[in-house]
Amino acid sequence: MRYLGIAVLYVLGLVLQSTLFNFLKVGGVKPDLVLLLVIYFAFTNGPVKGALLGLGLGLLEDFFIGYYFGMNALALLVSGFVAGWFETVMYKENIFIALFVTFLASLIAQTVTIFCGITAGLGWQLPDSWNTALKIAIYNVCLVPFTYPFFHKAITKGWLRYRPRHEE
Amino acid sequence: MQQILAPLQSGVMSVTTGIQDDFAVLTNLGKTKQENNQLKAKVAELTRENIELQQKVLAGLRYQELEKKFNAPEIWNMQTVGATIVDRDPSNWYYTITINRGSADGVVVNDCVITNAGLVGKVIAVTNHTADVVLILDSEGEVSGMVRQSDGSPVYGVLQSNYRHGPIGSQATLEMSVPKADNVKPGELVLTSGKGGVFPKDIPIGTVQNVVLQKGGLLKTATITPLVKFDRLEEVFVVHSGGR
Repeated sequence: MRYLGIAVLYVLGLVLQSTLFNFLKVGGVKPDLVLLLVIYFAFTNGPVKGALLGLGLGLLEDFFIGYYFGMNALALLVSGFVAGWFETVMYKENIFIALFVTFLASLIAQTVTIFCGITAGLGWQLPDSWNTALKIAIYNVCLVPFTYPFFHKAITKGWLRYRPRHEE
Repeated sequence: MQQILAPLQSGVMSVTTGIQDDFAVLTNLGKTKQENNQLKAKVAELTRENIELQQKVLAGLRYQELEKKFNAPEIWNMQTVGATIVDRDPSNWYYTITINRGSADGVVVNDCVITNAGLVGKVIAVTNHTADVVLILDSEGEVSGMVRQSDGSPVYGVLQSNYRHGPIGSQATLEMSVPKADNVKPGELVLTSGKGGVFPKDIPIGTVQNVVLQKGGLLKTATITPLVKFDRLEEVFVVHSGGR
């Protein structure tokens, strides 16, 4: 049930990014909803699970996009691990900490993407790419107050809560 | 009485009018000579223009003949197929769209994609009923462009996305490096050059927004605003390469 819920959220995020959010661009960028999902999950489940989910969803996204395979997988893996690390040292109930973690993990994910893109020979200019990365991170942070409380509630008490096998 | 005198009056009138005209010619001789000179100059000017126009028409005809012989890749000679955008890239880093036409409709990789406003991009992957199109805003969507200067001579360059966004609602712009000596000005139209074998010639791409000298001092960077509003794009035309 828990992973089915994550899968539904993932598909929903990917579809919304490809459709609706193209019309809600601010400064030429749209939020990265799949990244938000990985950050939220990692921040509430720790670095190992966060990194693994990031790797899995990133690979699926790479399949979906169809080129530069592995770029999203690496970016989401790293950001999942970083966001998950904060789970061990900070209060995940605090919305301000969630804002900070989202900003930092988003920026790291975009940095990895830029690094991979430039290494792969894509003609991305560093100052403009940094500008774009910063805007994506800020846009992601703006969505946190509207999405994180629901996710946190669902993952601690609701339909995304971890249930041991004997409870199911 | 009046009826009897009428022929006489008419005859006198005609004679006097003739004499008046002759006197007028004599008195306006200087003015007439001046007008004659002006008209001669005008005839010379018109004759020169006529020759120039004839030369241009002949040049045009020669160009058309050459175009037939060399099969110049003009967009107007090619078949197009309409397509609807069914998906866009979910990420912020790639500018690609998916259209509802594929190999079943004759679409092949490297087919050019346009709208009535101008160039959109090229096909990079095809399935039976869909195709992925990389937009000219993507770093992989480079185009060989050309700015036609006021004297008719072209300035060539490669257009690349700079991923630079303005405020809300604006889209990325393109950049083209041109030699310092070339006189590219803001507002001028940038077209495809037809070089490179992918994009046909003379498809409008965008207009020059500004031109700044690069740090090295040898080249200038022209920032180009695309004519197509990519965020509002719904339908496109795929240009069949089979028509080239």
